[in-house]
Amino acid sequence: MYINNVKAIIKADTPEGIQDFGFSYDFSKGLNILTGDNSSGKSTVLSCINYCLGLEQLIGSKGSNALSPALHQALSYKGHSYNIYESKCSLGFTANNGKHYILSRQIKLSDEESFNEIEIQDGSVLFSKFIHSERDHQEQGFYKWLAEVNTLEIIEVESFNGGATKPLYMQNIFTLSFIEQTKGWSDLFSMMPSFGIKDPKQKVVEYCLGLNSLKINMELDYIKNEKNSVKSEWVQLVNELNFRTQSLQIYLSDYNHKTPISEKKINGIYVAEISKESKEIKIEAIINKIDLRIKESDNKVKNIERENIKSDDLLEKRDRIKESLTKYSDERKEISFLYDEEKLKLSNYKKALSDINSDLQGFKDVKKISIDRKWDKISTAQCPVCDSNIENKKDKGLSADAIEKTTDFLKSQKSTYETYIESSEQVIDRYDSVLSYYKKSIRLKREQLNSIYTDIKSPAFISIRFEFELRAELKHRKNELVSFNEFFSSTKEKFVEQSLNYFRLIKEEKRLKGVVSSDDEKIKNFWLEFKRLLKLFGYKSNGVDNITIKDSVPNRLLPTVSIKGQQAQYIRFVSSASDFVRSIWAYYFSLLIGGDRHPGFLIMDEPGQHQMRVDSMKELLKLSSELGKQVILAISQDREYDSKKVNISDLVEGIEAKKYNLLHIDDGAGCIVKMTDELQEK
Amino acid sequence: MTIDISIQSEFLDDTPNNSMFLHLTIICGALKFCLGQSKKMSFIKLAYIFDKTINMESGAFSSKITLSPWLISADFKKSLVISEAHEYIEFHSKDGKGIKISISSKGEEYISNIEGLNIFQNYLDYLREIKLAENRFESPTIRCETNVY
Repeated sequence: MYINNVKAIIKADTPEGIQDFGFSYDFSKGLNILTGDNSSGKSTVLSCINYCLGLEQLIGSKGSNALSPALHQALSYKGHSYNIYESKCSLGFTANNGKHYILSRQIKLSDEESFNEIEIQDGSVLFSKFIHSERDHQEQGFYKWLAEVNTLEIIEVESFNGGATKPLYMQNIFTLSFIEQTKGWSDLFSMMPSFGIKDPKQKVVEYCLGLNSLKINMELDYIKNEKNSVKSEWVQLVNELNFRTQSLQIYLSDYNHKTPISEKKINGIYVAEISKESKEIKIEAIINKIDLRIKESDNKVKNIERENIKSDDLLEKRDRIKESLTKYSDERKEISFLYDEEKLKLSNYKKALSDINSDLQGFKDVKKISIDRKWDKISTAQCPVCDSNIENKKDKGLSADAIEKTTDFLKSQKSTYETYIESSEQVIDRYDSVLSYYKKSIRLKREQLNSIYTDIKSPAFISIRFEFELRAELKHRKNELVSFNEFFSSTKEKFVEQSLNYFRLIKEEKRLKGVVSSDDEKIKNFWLEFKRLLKLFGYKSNGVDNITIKDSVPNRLLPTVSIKGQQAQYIRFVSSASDFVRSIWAYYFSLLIGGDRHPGFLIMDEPGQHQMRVDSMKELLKLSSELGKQVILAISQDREYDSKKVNISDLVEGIEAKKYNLLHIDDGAGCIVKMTDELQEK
Repeated sequence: MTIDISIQSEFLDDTPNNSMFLHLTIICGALKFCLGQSKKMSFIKLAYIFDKTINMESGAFSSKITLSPWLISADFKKSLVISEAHEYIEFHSKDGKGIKISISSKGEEYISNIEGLNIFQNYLDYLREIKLAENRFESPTIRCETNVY
């Protein structure tokens, strides 16, 4: 788009009553130079362009406060100050769709009407759209309209916190076109509001250059989040399985607990019990064994039913229960001992890990100093091998090799302790459930013993109670295992589902990364154009050939200086103040020249910052006049360049008069004057 | 300075399990017999094998899905460092993530001597039986030393 005219109409309270003041400036499609004395109101004129486009956040805050008080509080005219009663401004522009529009927006109102509305004159049709509230980038919002008439796409991008997506706002996109007088020259896109968008500067450059990465990085981020969510569901399934295996004292074969594995590997996972001889017995074999024991018990019950139970049998059973009660009690003691031992070990290992971490930090720190590297610099001052005190070694020096070797050794210990601690915490849970099992079993055996005593005292009673209780116990165990097996099968199905999902995401991620690599050519061209312009503007701080723009962090898509043997630095940190301003010119012009999606114009307020050389200024004006795109430069009429005062006429010397439009603000009155008929007409 | 060990048989009867000879034999033996397809061993795997072998624990390697609880003892760490200092074994840094360990030619020679002298045979036989993949230590399941059912 390009701007045709900007106008302000201000009604002020004068001794002669309410009178109209204001300004009106016409712009041409190519280079426009808005000039005048210092404080003549160049920035005031430019601020009205921002304001009419609903972009005043790029020069300050929202609403009329971003504008000069001369537009909404009091204006000064011929040495008198007049309070403003009402004011508005308007902007005529030709959009990228080729049509002309006039935008009008109130600055100060006499009543309570809204400021957040922009009137749009489209030929004979007048309508309005709202700004600065929710949905202003949707159907009735101004920015959607502004984007549409300029064939600028509204693209959803990821937010800073990785939550819901947000549109890349027009307020972000139009920072490609405005550089404000003071803060605007402090950094690239310094006035860009972030609106909670992740890496907004990079996104605007991606948008402008039409890089695939803008959309794809969001898809890649989405895939990354999806992968994490699949992984977390996987871990949840693993935890559920672990919980159930722990309570049943069975084990699962090795598989990745953190990341989905292939379907084949999932099908290979099996469940087993570890026998006293440390042999694995698969769950199916355990169920078969229990079935056999149930059958045996059934037969016993049948036999008991056929032949009356003899008291000898009962006595024998009593002895067996007593024996197993003693066995259970002994085993419980043994397990309690192992449990305590494991807990103590766990606590010792946690302490050892903490010491190792502290030692590692100590060695890391001592590595950073080259003088007086001694053992006493390591705070814990213990031998990393045998954990004994190293008082006598305190003054001994530490060579770089010794530090390296000890650090490696400590890291191995660290990972060993970490692995053990993680597994040990699980085994302690198992001990807990085993101990509670023993408690329950001992109580059961005692009850069985009481039953037997009752049976012995009543020989007439045909006792099958004991066998029933035993059988109930076996059936309970069998049911638990069968039900676990069903759960395990259904979990495996869920595992397969997650696995298919996960590997589909990985495949898609790979494909997308391939597509992003096609951006390389565009980024390279942008970089080459940037370098060409740097040379043209006379950038000298670092060799221009050392300056790069890369698609990699840090400073992705921003210019950096890479000098051999040194870390790449952002151009702002290694350039003189005036050279950084030159690099800002070069960057914005490269985007204007090479951008696929750009508003189409560029406004720079006082580009001659920081002792700028006159030859650089001349090159800037010459380039601006030759681009065939609208460039509006606000430049003081007389300014010191190369330690001498230079008039604007000297800067345009050599540029054909028809190639630029010089707009001069009256030296005495400033930009705001009394409205004449001619101004009103415009 | 390094120590070259010459073993006199009279010292080897009833060797206590804190004997440096035994520790060196287990460390070098593990690195000779228990590497599988690998050329080096992780610290954690060697720590496990060391603890199980020194106690000649039966069943420590029979389960493919669990590991028996083990001690990461100061004796092990000390013996490991001494073995390396005297060049029986070698430490290899693995990209700043710790060390991997391998046996040196001196260590190989030491184990051959031990085999020739027919000493510590029960330990060496125990080590020869071990089949334990490195990936078992990625997220190991330590078993509860009991069989309640």
